[in-house]
Amino acid sequence: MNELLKIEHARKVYQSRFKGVQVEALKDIQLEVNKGEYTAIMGESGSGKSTLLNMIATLDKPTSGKLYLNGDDLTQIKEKVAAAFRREHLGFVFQDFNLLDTISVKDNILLPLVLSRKSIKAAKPKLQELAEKLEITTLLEKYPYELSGGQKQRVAVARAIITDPALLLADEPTGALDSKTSDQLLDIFEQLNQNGQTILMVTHSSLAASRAKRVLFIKDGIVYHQLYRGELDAKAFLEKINMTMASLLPR
Amino acid sequence: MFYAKLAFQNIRKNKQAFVPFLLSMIFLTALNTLMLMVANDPGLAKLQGAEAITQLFGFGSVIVLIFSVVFATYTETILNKQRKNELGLYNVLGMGKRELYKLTFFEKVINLVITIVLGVTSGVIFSRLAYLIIKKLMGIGSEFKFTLNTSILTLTILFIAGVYAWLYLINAFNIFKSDPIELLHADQKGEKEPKAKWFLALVGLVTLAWGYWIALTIKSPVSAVTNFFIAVLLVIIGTYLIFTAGSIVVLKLLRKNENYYYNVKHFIPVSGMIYRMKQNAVGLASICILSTMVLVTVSTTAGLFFGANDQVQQMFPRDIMINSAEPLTKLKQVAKNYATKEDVKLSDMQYIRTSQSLLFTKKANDFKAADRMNYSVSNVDKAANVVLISLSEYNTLTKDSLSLTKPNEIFMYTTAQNYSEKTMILNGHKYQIKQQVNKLKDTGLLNVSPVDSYIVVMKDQKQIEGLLKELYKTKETAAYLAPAYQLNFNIELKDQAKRKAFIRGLSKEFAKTADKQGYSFQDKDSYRASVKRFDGGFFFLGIILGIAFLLATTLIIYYKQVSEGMDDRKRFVILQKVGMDEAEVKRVIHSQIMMVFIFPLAFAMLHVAFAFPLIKKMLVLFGITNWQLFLVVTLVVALIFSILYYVVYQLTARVYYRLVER
Repeated sequence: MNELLKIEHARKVYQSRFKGVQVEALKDIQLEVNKGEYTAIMGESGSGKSTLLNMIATLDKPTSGKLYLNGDDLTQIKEKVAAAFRREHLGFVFQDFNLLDTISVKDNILLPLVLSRKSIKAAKPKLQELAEKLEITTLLEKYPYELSGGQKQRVAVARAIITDPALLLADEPTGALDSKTSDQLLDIFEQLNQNGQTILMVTHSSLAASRAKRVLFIKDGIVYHQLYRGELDAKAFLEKINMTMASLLPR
Repeated sequence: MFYAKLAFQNIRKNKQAFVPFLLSMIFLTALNTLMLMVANDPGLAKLQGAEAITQLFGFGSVIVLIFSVVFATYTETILNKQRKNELGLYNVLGMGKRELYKLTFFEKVINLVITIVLGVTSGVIFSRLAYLIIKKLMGIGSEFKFTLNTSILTLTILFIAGVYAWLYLINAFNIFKSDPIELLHADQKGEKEPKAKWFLALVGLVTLAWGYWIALTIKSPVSAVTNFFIAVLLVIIGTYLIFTAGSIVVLKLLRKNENYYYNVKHFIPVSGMIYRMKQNAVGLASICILSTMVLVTVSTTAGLFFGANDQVQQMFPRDIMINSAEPLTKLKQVAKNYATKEDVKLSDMQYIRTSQSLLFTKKANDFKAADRMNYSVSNVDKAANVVLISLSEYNTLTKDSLSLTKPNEIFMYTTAQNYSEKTMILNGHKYQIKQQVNKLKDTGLLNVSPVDSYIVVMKDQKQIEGLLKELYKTKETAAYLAPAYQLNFNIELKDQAKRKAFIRGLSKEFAKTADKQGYSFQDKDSYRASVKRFDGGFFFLGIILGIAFLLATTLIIYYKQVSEGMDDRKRFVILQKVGMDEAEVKRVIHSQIMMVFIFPLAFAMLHVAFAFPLIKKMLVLFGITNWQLFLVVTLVVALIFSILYYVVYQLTARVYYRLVER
C-alpha cells in the first residue's frame, strides 16, 4: 500500500466563547498523501491550514470525518496514544523552531529518542551523520540561544528526522527565516525527499511551495485546487502557483 | 499628573506581574511589623534573664530586616525582567529615559502606599490575633501585652520606604543601562548556562562540615553558647555555597552520566534544574535556613516549656528546702511544731550534713582543688563539683547499710556521663572507689549545674574534716571548711491556696525563731511558678518567631512557583508538541517541584539533627537533662513543620500547575 495519509470529509467547528457563535475552520477536507510525496498546503491566514496541520499532528481532533495515517484511525486514539504516535511516526518543524533553550543542541536533537525511551548509544552514529548532512556538527555542544535562525531551523530538522518518521510535518518552516536561509532549508527538504522522506508542508509562501512536488490550495475550509509539478522546474512551477493564487483572490 | 495616571493604569493592567510583587512586599511589611513589635514588647523586660532575650530578639529582627532587603531585591529583579518588554515598547513609542524614570517613580510611589497601608494593617491585625490565640490556647505569655506603639510603626514605615527607594534605584539603573531594542527583546534572550564552580562547592562542603563538627564536639554547655554562633554562621555560609555552587556541580555530574541522564525520568528534571538552580539557589537556601530557624527556635523553646517539670524536680526533690552552714535542728523542730499546729503532715523529711559543694579541676581521675572566686569560664570544661559526705550520713539518708573498711576506700556517685576510673585522686590523696552508687538521685545534693557533680562517701566525719583542712589552708579559702546542712521535706497538702498560706506562715515562723542563724529558705511552688512563667514566655516568643519564619518561607515558595510557572510554560508546550503525553508532563512537573521542595526541607532536617547535641547541652544550663523528652519534642515539632510545609507546597503547586497548564 502506497497511501500514507488519508483524510475523509474532515470538518472542524470551533465553539466560540460567546454562546451560539460557531466558527467553521474546516468544512470538508478530502486529502491523500502517498509515501515519498512532497506536498505543500497553501492558503491565506484564516483559511484553516493550521487547523488541518494540528489535526494531522494529533494535537487536535476533527468534529467529524476520518483521518488515517498508515491505516490507523487518528480520530479514535486517546491523548496518551496520540503522544506516543507523534513521537514514533511524525516529525515536526515549526515556524518558531520550538527548541528548548535549557538544553544543548545535541540534547535537543536527542530529545524525541529520550522521550520514546530509545537507546542513546545506538543513536550516536545517526546523530553524527545527520549533523554532518545538516552542517551543524560544530554546533552540537552549543545552546539554541547562541544560534542564528537558519541554524536553529536546521537543528529542528535534525530533531524531526532522527526518529525516521513516516511523515515530516513542517508548519511555515521558512516563516522566520530570510531568503537565503530559506533557500538552504528548502534545499535540505528537497534532498530529504529525494532520499524517500514524505513531507507535508504548510506555508503561505509561494516560493517555498514551488519546491514541493504537489501544491494544495485551501480556502474557506476546503481543498480548493491542486497543482502537480510534474516535469516543471521550480521557477515555472512558481509562476503557475502565483497564477493560481491570483485566481483565488476575491474579485 | 499624566505619569501618575499612566503608572496607575500600568499597575492595574499588569496584574500578573504586580500582584505577586505587591503581595510579597505587603508580606515583608507585615513580618517586620510583627518582629519589631515583639522585640520591643515591654513584657520582654519582665522575663528573667530579659537582657539576653532582648539581645537575642534584637539579633532576630536584624536578621529579618536583612532578609527583607535581600528578598525585596530578588522580587524587584524578577519584576524588572517581566516588564522589560513593556518599558521597551514605551521607549520605542517615544518615551525617553527621563520619562521612564518618572513613570517608574510614580509606579513605585503607588506601590509603596499600597504596601504600607495593607502591610502595616495586616501586620498589626496578625500580631494581635497571634497574641490572643497563643495566650488563650496555651495559657502562656501573660506578660506580653499587645500595645500599638506608634514609634515602632513609624520605624517600620520608614524602613519599607527605604527599601522602596533602594528598589527604585535598581530599577532606574536597569533603565539607564538598557537600550530600547534590548528592552523589547529581553525575554527572548536565552540565559547562559551556569558554570560549575568546583572550588566554591568544595569550600561550602568544608564550611558545612566544620560547622557540624563544632556542633558535635562541643564538650561543655557553657562554651556551647559562644560556639553556637560560630557554628550557625558556618552552617549558613556552607548552605548558601552548597545550594548555589554544589547543586550545579552535582547536576552537571549527573548530566555527564549518559545512562542516567538520557532517561525520560531524569532528562527534563536534571536539565531544568541546572537552570532552576541558577535563578533560585539563593531562594532555596533561604528556605532551608529559615526552616532550620523555625525548627530550632520552636523545638528549643518547646523543649524548655515541656521540660519545666524536670527542671523543677531536679532543683527541688522536696517541697521545702532549707540550707545553712549551721545545724538546723532548731528549725526542724519549729517546722514540726508549726505543722502540728496547722494540722498538716510533713513527709519524706531529710536532714543531711555534708561538705560544701567544692570546685575542682579534673583531669581523668586527678582532682585539684580550685578557688571558686578566681575561676575563669574558659576552664569550665574541666571543672567538677565535689561534695563530701560521711558514710553514716549516707546510710541514714538512703536507708542503706553500706560499710567501708579501709581508710582510703570510698563510695561515689556522679552525674558525669561515664566515669570509668577505679580510683579518684583528690589533691594527691588516692582513693579506691569501692562502688559507684546511684541512690542519691532525688536528694537535694545535686546542683542543677552545667558542671558534673561527684558525691564522695567517706568513712567518717573526721576523715572529711582532715581532708578539708589540708585542701583549704589559706585565709581566703577558710570558708570552705564550714559544713553544709540541708533540711528537705514535703507538705501533705493538695489545695494550692492552702499550700501557699502554709508556706508563707512557715517561713515567718522560721524568721521569728532563727535569731542570728544564717539560712536560706526555698519552696518548690514559687520556683515552679517562676520557671513556668519564664519558659512559657520563652515558648511564646518561640512560636511567634516560628510563625514569622514560616510565613517568610511560604512567601519565598509562593513567589518561586509563580515566577517559575510562567517561565516553564513554554518548555512544556514544546515538550508536548514533540510527543510527551499529558500524564508524563504532569509527572515531570511533579517530580521537579518535589525535588525543589524536598531539597531545602531535607537539608534543614539535617541541620537540626546536627544541632541537636548542641542544643541538648545548652538546655542543661536551664536544668533540662531529660534529652529523650527533648528528642520527642523536636521530632513532633519537625513533624508539624513538615505537614505545614507540605500544605504550603500543595497550595502553591496548584498555582504552578494552573500557570503551566493554561
